[in-house]
Amino acid sequence: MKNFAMIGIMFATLVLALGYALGDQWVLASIVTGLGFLWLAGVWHNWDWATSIGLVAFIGLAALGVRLELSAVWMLFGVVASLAAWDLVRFWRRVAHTKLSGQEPSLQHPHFQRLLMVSGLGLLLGGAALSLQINLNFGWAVLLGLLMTISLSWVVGSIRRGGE
Amino acid sequence: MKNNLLLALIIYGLIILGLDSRNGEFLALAIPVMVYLAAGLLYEPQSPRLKIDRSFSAGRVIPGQAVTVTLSVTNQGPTLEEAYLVDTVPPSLKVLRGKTNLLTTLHPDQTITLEYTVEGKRGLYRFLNVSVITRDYLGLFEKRAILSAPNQFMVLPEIVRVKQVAIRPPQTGVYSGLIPARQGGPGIEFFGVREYQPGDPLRWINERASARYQQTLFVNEFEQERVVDVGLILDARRQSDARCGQESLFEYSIQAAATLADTFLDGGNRVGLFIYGRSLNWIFSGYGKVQRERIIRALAQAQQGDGKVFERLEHLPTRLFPVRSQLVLISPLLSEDSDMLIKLRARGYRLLVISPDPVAFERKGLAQSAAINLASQIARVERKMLLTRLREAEIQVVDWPVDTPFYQIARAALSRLPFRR
Repeated sequence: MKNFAMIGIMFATLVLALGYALGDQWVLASIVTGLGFLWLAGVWHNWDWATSIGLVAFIGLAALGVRLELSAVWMLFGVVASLAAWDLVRFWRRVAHTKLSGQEPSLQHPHFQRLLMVSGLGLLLGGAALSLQINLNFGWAVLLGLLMTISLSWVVGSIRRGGE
Repeated sequence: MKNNLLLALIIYGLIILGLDSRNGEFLALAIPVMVYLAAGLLYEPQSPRLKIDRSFSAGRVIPGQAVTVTLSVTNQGPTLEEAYLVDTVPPSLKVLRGKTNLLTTLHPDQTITLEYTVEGKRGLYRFLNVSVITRDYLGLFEKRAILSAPNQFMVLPEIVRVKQVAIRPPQTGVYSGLIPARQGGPGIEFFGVREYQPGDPLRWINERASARYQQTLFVNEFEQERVVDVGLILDARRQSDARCGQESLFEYSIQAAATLADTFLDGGNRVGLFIYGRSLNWIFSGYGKVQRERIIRALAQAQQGDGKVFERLEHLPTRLFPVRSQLVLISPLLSEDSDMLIKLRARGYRLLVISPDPVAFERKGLAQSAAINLASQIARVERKMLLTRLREAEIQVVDWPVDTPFYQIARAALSRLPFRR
């Protein structure tokens, strides 16, 4: 299971670094590679904090890529790959915590199915959002902004309720 | 930080960036994260409704015998995508085989079994709860519950076989038993000669004695054998214990107490147990298998204590024991205990002291040095003086170096009747 997590991180690093390299941002591409190695080292040494930091850093770098007007498609792939890598690391941790290698196959299959479905849908919707261009006037923008804020507040609220 | 909160913050961050730069591509980056979070919310687990049954391969075992714990978990609710079950094992138990936790998917009405083997020292082991954490497959949301699955098993103290423990208290019971009662009547051992009385069996007639007198017949009398009251006193004071590494002398005292209780009860005697050290732990005197079970259970759970009240034997509640009955004290002995024991003897109790030797026990765990050798010699002399003082007061003392098995000591020191007064 650990191998899947490592491959996930390597793939996310590769996608994001390639996105930067294709935009001739070699310095940033090497930074991505460095961060990828750090994330791998974190997984190898079981550093808990490295998992979340890795995800935030990679999504931050994807956002920076968009800001630098690099290919948004590569950045979207980078986000999806980072998310998948983050998920795999967490899944490996949960399985490793039980120290029961025999139980993995029964959980691996449905987990991978769910992850594949979510990643595919995310990629599809993200790709659609990139290809669609809608001109919104100020009123629509405010309305959508409000809707987004309310929905996110609801999400955070439900998360907090779940925590209690 | 919680994973779902982290994702929400990432989404917020990307949306703010998109609004700030009026660039829709940032929003497109947030979409996969939103989908991931939404999937977590959609499959958010419900509180687990599980039925857990716990069983053991044996409810009573001897030390060193392994017990298999089987947890049968049935899901009475909806599917639990990822259920993590952790059984709470008493800390003093050692898990030999299997695992005490399980990560699995539980479908409705599905039953899974968690099995592991444990081993422990003497004691009562209570298993209470099973912790359950349920999550969605993505592990974003979780519900925790602690479910009750109580059951217990007992590791009994070791009992060795001792054929006979010869005691002779002044007071005996009314029922026939195995203890000589200092009274003539039916029995085995010759007791004396008396004049014939109508009803005496003819085979009891002592022909030699009768031949000496004309018109008078004499019959043999035998010593009656009766049951007796035995009060076992187990010294559980922490200050009287000695330790050698992980080993405690108290465990040997327990073994001796269990063996003696078993032997006395086998002989039909009425036996009570008082565990002195932690609280007033008294098993009322009784006969037979039920009493044996009570005593063994009490010994299995016996723990040492260091209460101020029980620092010395002065507070031994002697009224619990019938006057002139047999008392058996199992104790490594402290020097100040002799006064109380002599007082007990003076009150008419017959006293037998089984004393596991703390000096030899502690010495084997210490390094060889001149100072330790000297200290050991002094301790040995002190103990010898203490035991001599008790013996002079007609207290039967068995000094038990615990390297020697108890049955050997019992055979050598307890198989014959003590000096008779």
